[in-house]
Amino acid sequence: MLEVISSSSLHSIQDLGRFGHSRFGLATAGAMDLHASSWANKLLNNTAETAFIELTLGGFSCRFLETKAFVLTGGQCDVQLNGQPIDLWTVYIAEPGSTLTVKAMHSGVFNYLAVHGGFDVQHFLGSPAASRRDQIGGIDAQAGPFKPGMIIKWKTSTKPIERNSMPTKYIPDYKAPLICDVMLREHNQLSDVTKRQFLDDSYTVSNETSRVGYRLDGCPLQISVPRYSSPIPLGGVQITAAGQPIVLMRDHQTLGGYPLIASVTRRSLSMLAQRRAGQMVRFKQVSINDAQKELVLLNKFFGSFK
Amino acid sequence: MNQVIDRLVSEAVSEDVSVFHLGEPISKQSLLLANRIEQQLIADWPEWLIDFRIGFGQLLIQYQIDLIDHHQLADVVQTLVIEKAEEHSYSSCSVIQIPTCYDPRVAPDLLNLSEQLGLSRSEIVSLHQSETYKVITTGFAPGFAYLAETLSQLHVPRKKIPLTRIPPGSVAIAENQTAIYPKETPGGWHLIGRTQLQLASVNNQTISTVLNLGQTVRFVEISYDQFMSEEE
Repeated sequence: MLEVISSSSLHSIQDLGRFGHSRFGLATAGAMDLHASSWANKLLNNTAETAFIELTLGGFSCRFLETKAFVLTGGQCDVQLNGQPIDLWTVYIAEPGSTLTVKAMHSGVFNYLAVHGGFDVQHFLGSPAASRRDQIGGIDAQAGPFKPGMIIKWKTSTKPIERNSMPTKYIPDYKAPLICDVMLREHNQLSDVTKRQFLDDSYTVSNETSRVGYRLDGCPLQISVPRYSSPIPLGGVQITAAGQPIVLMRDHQTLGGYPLIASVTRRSLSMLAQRRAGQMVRFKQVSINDAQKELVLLNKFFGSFK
Repeated sequence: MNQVIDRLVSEAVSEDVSVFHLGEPISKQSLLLANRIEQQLIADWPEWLIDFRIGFGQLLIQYQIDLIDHHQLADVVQTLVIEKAEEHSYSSCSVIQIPTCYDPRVAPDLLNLSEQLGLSRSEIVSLHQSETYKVITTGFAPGFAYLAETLSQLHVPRKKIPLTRIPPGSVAIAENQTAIYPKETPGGWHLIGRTQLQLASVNNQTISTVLNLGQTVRFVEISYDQFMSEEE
């Protein structure tokens, strides 16, 4: 068991997400940076479906009440085990009574804390993932925050841990400008000029970012608004009335009225999630076939990647 | 029933998501297709199906790309539509009645709307009640249904600034549609009444909703006293 010492309202229990209920308007939820969370489970030899804790912008401390192997992945931050600095993307074994403290973040937005076997949290409609918008899932089934003194249970695993740390070359640099792979919609209302502008211009991440979507700043795009709303895919790129793109993230609404012009690939979506306000983003067109090949590989490598 | 169904236009929109265009959002044909597909997908829930949603004439399907590709998916959806056509019964026989109180005490936007539309309050209420509506889309929140089509006199743009907290059971209009807010959410539609009807029940196992795609709905006026006496 893990005891929460201090936390923020932005931290939550997540997993791959809650699927099969979007026709009722429920958000999928799930890890914002599925790449980093999937590595956390992989390093601990957990299944892809295993639940973990998502930390947003640091500021978390907890106590291990039993011996447990754990790993922290995601953005660069000061993290200490019993007051000693430890590395991210590396498996450690905490002794009973050990304190883990995640302090200031230097890059990125999200960290993932996973334990060997995973956290044991009640499933709500098939998933433990907290959806703040729908007020379901998470530690209290109502997407409430972690509170000091709260106990988070975990499962035990008999599967051996095969790796201790991630090869350094695979650790993403969230400070680097992002080339965001996109598939353009065939049935979009984009003129060739607008299309070129979208692919040639560079954008910066605005202050308006949340688990619902990331709005980007750039030269406004000219596009007509459709009469009716339509279903929105994860990673969909909407253009607002002011001509700015919003990339739809894990807690996105299921229907929307703004024109949808493209979809960000699942891998790039993880990388975008870790970008902060002011960071640069450029879009690069990829074919559906190439993007599918990449997702098939991610599925194979991590067990599941949705 | 008209069995001539053209090949659906499909579009691969991301690695594992395809969108199928079913036709004009509020046409009888697209509602019929939407209803048929929804019932089939829920009943069968094929192994390749991760999730789906239907909105305003478009069907979005997320699928397991290891099990099926988007060309095969398009074939499967097409077969689903054609083969099951005969055995399908359109679930529109009964009209679902929504007891609605239009008293200004629970209809905060009636007065403003009356000015905006150039209609008296009672005209708005009787125009709203005079029609039956089809559920053209579900979503936004469990139990929320987009109902169409309101009479043209009632067509009105959404509010410029949405309300952050709409009381549950609020009956609202916007554009050419009407809807009921099942729980307290933000929203930009104009509130013209309130019902005590519970539109969704959500627990950790299942969601069930009163209003489902393709069904027919009518609003029936009740007095403020009746409305208050139904309160639990």
